[in-house]
Amino acid sequence: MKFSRKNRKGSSPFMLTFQRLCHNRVAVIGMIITLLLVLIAIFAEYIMPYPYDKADFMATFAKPSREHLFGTDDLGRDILSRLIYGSRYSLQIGIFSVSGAMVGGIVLGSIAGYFGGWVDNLIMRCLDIFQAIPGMVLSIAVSAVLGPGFGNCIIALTISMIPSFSRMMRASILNVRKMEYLEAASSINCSSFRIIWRHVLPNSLSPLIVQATMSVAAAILIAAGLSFIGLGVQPPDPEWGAMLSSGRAYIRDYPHLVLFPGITIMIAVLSLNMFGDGLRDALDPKLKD
Amino acid sequence: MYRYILKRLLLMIPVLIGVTILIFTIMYFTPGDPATQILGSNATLEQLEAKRQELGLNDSYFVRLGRYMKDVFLHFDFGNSYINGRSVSKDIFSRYPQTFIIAFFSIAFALLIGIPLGVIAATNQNKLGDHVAMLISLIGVSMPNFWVGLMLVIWFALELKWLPATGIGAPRYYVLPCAACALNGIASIARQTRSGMLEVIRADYIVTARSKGQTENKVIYRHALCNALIPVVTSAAGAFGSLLGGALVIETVFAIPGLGTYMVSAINNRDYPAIQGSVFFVALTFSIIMLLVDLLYAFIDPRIKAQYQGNARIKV
Amino acid sequence: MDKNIKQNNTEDILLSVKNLTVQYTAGGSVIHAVNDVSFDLKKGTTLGLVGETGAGKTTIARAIMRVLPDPPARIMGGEIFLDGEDLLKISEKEMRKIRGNKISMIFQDPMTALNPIFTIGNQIEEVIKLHNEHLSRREIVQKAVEILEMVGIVRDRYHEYPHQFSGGMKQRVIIAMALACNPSLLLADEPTTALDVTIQAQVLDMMTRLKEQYRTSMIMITHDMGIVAEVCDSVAVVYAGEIVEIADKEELFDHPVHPYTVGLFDCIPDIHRKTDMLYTIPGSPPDPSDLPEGCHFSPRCKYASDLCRSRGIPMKEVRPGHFCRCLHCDERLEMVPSRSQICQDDPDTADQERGKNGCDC
Repeated sequence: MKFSRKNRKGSSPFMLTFQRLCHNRVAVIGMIITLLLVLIAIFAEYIMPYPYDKADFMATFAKPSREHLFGTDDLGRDILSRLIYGSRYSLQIGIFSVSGAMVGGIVLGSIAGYFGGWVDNLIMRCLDIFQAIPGMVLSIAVSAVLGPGFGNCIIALTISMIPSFSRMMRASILNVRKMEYLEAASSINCSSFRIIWRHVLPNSLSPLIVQATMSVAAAILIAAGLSFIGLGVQPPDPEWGAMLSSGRAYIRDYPHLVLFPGITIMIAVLSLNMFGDGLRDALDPKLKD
Repeated sequence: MYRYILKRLLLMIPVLIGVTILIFTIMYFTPGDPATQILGSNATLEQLEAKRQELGLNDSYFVRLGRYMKDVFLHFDFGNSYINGRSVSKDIFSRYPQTFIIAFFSIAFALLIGIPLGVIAATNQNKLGDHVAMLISLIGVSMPNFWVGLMLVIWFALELKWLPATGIGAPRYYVLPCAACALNGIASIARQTRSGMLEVIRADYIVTARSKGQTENKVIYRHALCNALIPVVTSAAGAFGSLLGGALVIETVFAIPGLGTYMVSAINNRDYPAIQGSVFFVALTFSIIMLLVDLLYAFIDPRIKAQYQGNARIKV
Repeated sequence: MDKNIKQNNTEDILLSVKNLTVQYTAGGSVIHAVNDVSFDLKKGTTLGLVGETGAGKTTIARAIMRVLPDPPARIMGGEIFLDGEDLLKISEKEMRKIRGNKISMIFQDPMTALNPIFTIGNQIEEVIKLHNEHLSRREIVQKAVEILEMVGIVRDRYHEYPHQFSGGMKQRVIIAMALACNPSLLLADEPTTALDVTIQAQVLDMMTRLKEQYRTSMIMITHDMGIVAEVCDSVAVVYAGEIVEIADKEELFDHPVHPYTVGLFDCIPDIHRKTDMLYTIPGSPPDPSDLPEGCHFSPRCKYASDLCRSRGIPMKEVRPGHFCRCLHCDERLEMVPSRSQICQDDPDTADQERGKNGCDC
């Protein structure tokens, strides 16, 4: 659809998608918040009002006030500063694990979809096995083996997300494989790799991009869950899930210790989902009405 | 139909075998010596060696895998815990019902509330109700469910003191965990139902149904919803998976002695038989859910059903 | 406005549409889909609605059925009398009793008009059950089987699903569904467009036969002059949501007056004449959200004068029972030579032409 409109008004499919995206208020809000979060993560050192790890034993469990907007935790560390610095962990986990899963998924899915036959069968059956374990549990199992920590958390998430990306890639390859331009490409003796890289991949990109955006959101949620049960990033690192986990002990008297990290996770995931929803509608306008 | 059920049941076996091999292999390559774990660091080398011999740890990978598979599939035995020596399968059996109850009710609520919510949003497309329902759903899928659990504890258990905060026992102990777990599911099912309905609601056969003189309710719930549910059912399987995973985390919040807390403590203690056993059980549960979803799928969509019925034409 | 349309012996008239106006609102712009359409349909006769894709024919039919999606579509005004009762005034509940019972509809695309998850027997039963509450389950099935056999589908296939049927068979099922309650008015929305040429004639013959048998009146929506020649008694030519010319079939085929109608006839290729290029009406149909001033056809009309572009054109009776919406109709009536009737003179040619080219100019 979007390619057929390419020549109208001389704008590229990318620009058309972008224009449609900008007309969607919800998506724009999501995009702005996401961008803000990325900026906050990049410039965390300059934004945080206090060093994230500076303990102040005179002011433990301070309620939200002007000095400490979100209050302080059990060691008197400023929660706002920790949340700001923690955005680095969550966003990095989300982005790196999804990029990893995307690369893995594209490779596996392309091989399965393009070559078909027993290769396809073998890969898909292996993925079946991985998908018989829910993502959360697979991540738990993998981090059980690798041990807790930031890098291991990324690896665990990557492994648990590869199957869905592969399936998606395979499905879109099966879709485009029927198209005639592929026959044309192979009739002029294009190599398989070149056909996938130059012809198939660009045409299966849009569902992949939407899936990636949504997966970053899902990865942040799962990472928070892992840290919460003590398998992801470990305290005292200010990862959001880890903050929830350590704040949980004081929930009876100091609920602000768990309130603000949770809201932060929610806003990050929400904005990514809003952006992803809008992106899907913009890339596939027929779903809108 | 029976052929289809049979075929799907048979397909489950290689997947479960694969899962078993996968978990075993992951755990096999994990660093650490179980013998030291069991006997503690004070044990002598002879004692450790004897223990290794007893557990068969000195055998090759394939011998151990074969033995493990035999135990699992012939005797349903996952070995004994390294920590307390109890049978893993017995431990899991005693904890499984708690997890099952939470997962079952969460899925049930997700469907019972999510589907009507999605239908209402779709039939009021672009009106206020739709926007509000969809905004709430979007927020719903964006909240970590263990955090929702914590918030529910703060509000309903600590502030209002209506419901117990932790533990297990009477049905009211299950209310908060199920609610926390179901919320994500409700929101995601509602979103999927809405987009499924929007695809279907403009279809020609809906106009056909209306021009027969059918009531609007019947048009929506009989003609449109059944068709809209076909894609919903497919993606609902994924939602159930994350619900099941979520139920395991939720147990930690409410200190429920279920599979989730069992798995977490097993991981913290590096109790491999227990980890393997619990992952296997989760995979088994999830496979059964997927099987039910597929059956439902075939039940709704005659095009799938027809493939397995042959072309027997039924006489009037 | 068009009050002067012939109103002789009103009791003969089954359906009377007066000044029907339908608009769609899409993204801030208003689409004038149907503008001030009026026509009468006598009992037992067939009216053909002819026009290009997007001219508003289907919207007229759906407005009569009151199954337009609201929003975005909205009936802005007009009256639709069925047996003297204004369908636009009665409640939705009363309308439901009429739909499928007194008026029924045959759809353009049989592939999508049947619900894929119910058996065809089930779908026919549904309409019978809705309008015959006194019938027992057994009687309903009995009736459904009968009607299926009437459209030539054996009872063995009663429990099959739409995906097990071919396009032509599906259209038969839809026709069976439409006729199940013996309606007095049948709206056929391009019933053969989506079918293979070989099946088209079969379905059309069957429809005509059943229509005679049940003494049903029919509105046949089509863009195919061949079909009009075969099944219709009178013809209304629709352009940009307006009826531009309406007359008995013979009259219209013999003396087409409106330049658009003439253009439609010229689009039909003549097998006896050798031409290099098929005739097309220059230009394209106007954007319904931005209709040209005055006569909507004026931008494509070679006879258009400044007066044509300045104001709305009234309907005018050019010959008895022959109405045309053209300022120049009188002079054109003399100018346009009488056409030979393509259907009566040479039915074979008409058939071939229809098969070869649907005249979707």
